[in-house]
Amino acid sequence: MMKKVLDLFYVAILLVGAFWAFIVNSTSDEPIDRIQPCDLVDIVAHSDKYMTTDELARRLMSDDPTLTLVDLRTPTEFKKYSLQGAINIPLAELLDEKYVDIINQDVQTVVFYANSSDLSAKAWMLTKRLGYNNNYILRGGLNHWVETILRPREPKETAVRAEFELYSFRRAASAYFGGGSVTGESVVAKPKAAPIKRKKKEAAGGGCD
Amino acid sequence: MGPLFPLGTIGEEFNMLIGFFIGIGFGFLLEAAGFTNTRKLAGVFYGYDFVVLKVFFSAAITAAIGLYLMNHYGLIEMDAIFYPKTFWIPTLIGGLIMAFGFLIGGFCPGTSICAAVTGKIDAMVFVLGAIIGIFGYAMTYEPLWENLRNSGKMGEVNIADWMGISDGLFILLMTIVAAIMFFAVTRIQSKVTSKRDYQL
Repeated sequence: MMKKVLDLFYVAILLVGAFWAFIVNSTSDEPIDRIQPCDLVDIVAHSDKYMTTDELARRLMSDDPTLTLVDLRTPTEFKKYSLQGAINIPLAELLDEKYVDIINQDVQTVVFYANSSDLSAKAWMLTKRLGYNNNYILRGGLNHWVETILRPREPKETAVRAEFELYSFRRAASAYFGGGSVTGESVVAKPKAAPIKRKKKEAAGGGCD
Repeated sequence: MGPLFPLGTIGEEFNMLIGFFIGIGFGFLLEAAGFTNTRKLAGVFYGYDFVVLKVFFSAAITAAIGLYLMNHYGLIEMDAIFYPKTFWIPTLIGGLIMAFGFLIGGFCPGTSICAAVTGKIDAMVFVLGAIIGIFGYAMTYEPLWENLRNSGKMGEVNIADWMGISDGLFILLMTIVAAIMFFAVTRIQSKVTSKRDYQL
């Protein structure tokens, strides 16, 4: 009698397990660790995805070691001009296995940039979809970088104090990055030799490596 | 997280050590379940004892459910698990040979070694035969068996894909079939054993 009950019990457990497998299989086609589309809408709407050019300039000037800049443009564009310490990963190669350690980690702050924020937004979306955090978009891209940091415009006389403060910060930054606005000349945005040596960017180690 | 060895979580030595202990446990349980008795295995063919069938079937289903759920919850990476290629013709022939071996000898490769260790002389002969067979096959592989071995190639086949249904549904159907079969064979067994008194 006891044996029969045990047999039934075991068959019941197997059936419960099989139903469980069937239900998780039919409710989602994707592994649970991937972000589902409905959740993605929420994440996109609520997360902090931009880094302003001012914030980036501040972090670059303070030689923030936790900052990783990723240039999403083509290698030729990258050679012509890039932000200091940036690594070049063209958007098409972003999800290559060799770059996973750069874009999927929780130590560095990764900032994507290109000429505008178009490519960066795409890259950000891709990484977000895969559940990678700590990636940011440079707001306005390099165009905005040139406009605000390399060649800042003087605010009107009637502007509020904060704007003047921001302007003076930007002028200092411009001098630092070699934008040339201090001398008043129009200079092509090209960096001088980096005044401060930056550490070479490497993927953050640790974890299960 | 898993599988531990292919993903490099554990090294070769530790992998071997784990295998060693799992092997001991496996042999211990085979003996404890009475599988070293030839009549237990042959009983499936005569209809008086279906324990072997129940054990093998439920083991396969338990593994399928476990792997499927572990994969779903990210505990194991199925892509890193060895997945054998299917060659249906040699598999069919090999299966028949295996079945005759079961029926005639009363052992499967695992239980024969367990039984040999417990001192059963027929099991020792069985193991010797298996070894002769292994060497004989290996030495005559190129002239005799290579073509047969590579015939009926199907690649890596997933039976659920092949049938066009999802893995979860296949597991569910398989489990239901197994449950029905368990009760059916239990009835057969009680009918057969009530006619004659089989001594194990």
